[in-house]
Amino acid sequence: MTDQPSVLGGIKVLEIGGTGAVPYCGRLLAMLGADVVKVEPPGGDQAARRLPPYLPGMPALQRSAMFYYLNTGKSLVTADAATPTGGQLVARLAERSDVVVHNGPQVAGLELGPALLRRHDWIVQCAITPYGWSGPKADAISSDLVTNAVGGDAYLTPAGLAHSLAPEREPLKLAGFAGSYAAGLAGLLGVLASLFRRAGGLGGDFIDVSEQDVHISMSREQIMWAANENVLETRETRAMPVGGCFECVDGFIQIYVFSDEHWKALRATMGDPAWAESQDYATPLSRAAHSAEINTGIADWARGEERDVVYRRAKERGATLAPFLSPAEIIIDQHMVQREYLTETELPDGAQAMVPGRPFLMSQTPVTWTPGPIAPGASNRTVYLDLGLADDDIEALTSVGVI
Amino acid sequence: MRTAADLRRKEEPVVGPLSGIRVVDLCWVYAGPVMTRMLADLGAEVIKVESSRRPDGTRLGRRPLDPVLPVPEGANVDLECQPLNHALNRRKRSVAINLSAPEGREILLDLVAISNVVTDNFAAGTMNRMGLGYEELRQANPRIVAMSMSGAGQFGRLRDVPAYATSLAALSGLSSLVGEGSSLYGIMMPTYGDSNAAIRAAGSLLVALLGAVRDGQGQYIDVSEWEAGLVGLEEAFLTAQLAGSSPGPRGNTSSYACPHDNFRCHGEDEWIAISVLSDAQWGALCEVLGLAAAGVVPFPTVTDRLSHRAELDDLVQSRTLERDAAELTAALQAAGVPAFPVLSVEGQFADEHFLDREVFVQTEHPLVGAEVVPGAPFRFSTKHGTTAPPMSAAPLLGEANEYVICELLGRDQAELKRLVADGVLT
Repeated sequence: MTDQPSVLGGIKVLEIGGTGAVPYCGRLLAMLGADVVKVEPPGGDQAARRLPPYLPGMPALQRSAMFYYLNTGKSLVTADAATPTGGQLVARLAERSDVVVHNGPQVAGLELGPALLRRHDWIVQCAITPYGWSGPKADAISSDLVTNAVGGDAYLTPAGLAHSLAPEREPLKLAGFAGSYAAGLAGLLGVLASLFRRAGGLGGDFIDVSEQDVHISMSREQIMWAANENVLETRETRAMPVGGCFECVDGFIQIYVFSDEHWKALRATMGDPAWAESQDYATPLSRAAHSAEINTGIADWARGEERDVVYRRAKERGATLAPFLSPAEIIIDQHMVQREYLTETELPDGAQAMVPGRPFLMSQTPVTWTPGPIAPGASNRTVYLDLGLADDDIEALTSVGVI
Repeated sequence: MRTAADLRRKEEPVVGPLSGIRVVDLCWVYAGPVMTRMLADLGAEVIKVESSRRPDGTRLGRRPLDPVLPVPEGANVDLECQPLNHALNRRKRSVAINLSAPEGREILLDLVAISNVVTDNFAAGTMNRMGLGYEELRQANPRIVAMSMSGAGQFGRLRDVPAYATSLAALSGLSSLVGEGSSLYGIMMPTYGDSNAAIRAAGSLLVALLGAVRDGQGQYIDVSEWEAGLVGLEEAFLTAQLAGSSPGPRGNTSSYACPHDNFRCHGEDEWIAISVLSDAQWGALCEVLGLAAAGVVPFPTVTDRLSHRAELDDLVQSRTLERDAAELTAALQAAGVPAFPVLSVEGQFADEHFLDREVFVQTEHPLVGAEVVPGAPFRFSTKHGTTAPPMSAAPLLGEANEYVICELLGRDQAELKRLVADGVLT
């Protein structure tokens, strides 16, 4: 890292709406040095500010550690965008911004989407919505669970062995907010690409990011097989013949075996047991035909081993084996410490917590983390004075509940 | 309702935001190619550097499709007919260079000299061992942006950990959070870690390109797929620290919403996802499912509902079982409740919404003909309309040899022939 200026220094971002993807995108823009103003309804965004876990001893709307993680470091302002006066304030904030990131909210007197681009073609505008800006279901409502269901992840989770253990079990979502934050990342990519075009002297873009599209386009070999080979994978059929998750004395390991090299390295890791020498297990196809007995053999071996000892041996033998880590272990893992990915930060109640810091490790571009106040409207005065309002105006708007 | 036509291109020719950017792409298998495919979707020229001597894993591994078109001379059908490879490499070009030949390495560095970005997703340290580390690349082009993506990054105690999707899910904590109770055994997730790493990596390249606009300098980027796999799991990390212990697997449950699950519907393996995020949505759900006897809504507050989760899930499922997932989705959406069927790929193909948005596109592959591949994860438009570059099918191995050697590097046809004969281009 050097003392270069931050890459988005001087870029003004307006962020409106959303509890997941949009604030996550805004957070990354702020870390890259942009000046992010986040608009909330008067009193603060009730849903976003109630996301657990909670910080003890903090006021009700400032106790969400997730809200703090996503939004500290932004200038937080309030405006009732549904009223003509509040809508006008938001419109003025938008017009002086380089970037507007939103989830398609109602703003009185301000049409977002292509209409905004037609009026102000320098603005980089990114809408991150569950189903996208266009299409018959554009206005359908969603949640992270629903995104996982529509995007195709749930249909295939859990698969293979886990499915066979409880075939009646419902499809499962990924953990946390994995569904919507991927769309936040796609929004970041879109905004940066558009800023790059603008740096070349061209106008801004309207970028339509759909959480569903992101999931479908990113990672679905199943799409190719279903569309072009007439093979529909299900939770039942999606299985690695050999390998999976195995229990050790003190935790779990994940083993992947496909090629003959994988199998040879795993055998070496297990100490070349006699049962594994069988010619029945010599090729990928024959291993698939005998997968149950092979997995039983691996499981019997793993049960007597320690997780980290096995990992070290696998590493020496070149086996595709990884330890199963929990969040509590990852936080203190020496690898994470060495790479300084997790950053210690002070929470509003004074406690310290490790949170993901830099999104990328780049040789020349610094990423900063500057926490700030998170009370609703904490930056109202600064931002609205900057917009040309007088103290009296701000007071009057506050008293009638517009900000 | 907004329609796709609002966004469609009008008259003037417009170009994608990365038009004019050239990417020398050494990526292979999955996460890397997904990343550079996004760069291609943004208008960059992506030249995939590969070789028949060590083919991209996605060119192998499954029974290839049968060609329906005449096979050009020299094309190896076994390497050219894998749909997954086509999906990951559409909109790219391919040059076949033997990088272990000294001349092959020189050609690569000549190409780097006239490009903006170099990408790889080899195991940590591989580029250095090939004599293509950042120092060598920078000597060829001081403005080059070089990015290496690997399982756990270029340094750190676990830098050599295997970078398969399931390994990364185990490392990131994701595997310990999906599922229920102690039934972790063999949980297998979609390739989530790969795709998130891909989007982040593409984002980091954009940051570097923007930086280069400012100061004319290139840089080196070290992307760890493991770190990318932590995205979206912050709630679990914060909970682990605030509560002093890791949250266990939680299935589909939410700590602040109930009901919040996938419920079985009428038919074979038919399910609906329902998230009740407020008391009002719960009232609406009860109305649609006929659970509000005489207008009285049971368990009216979220606290009530969270403490009777199992009972409530059974109650809801007893009603969803009788309903068709699509019909129930329409009723719940109309009532303001987040709900949607759990879709298979076939369900996605058939959904009018995805058809309208062109989430799947068709390419004309030179050997297998018409093929359905995923579209871009974003849609860009300027005031003149969409800026998506023309779609093109995945390249045959080395289809751009002549373009790269003659057109870009200015060597003549005789030289091209010699390089092929000498096994440098293969």
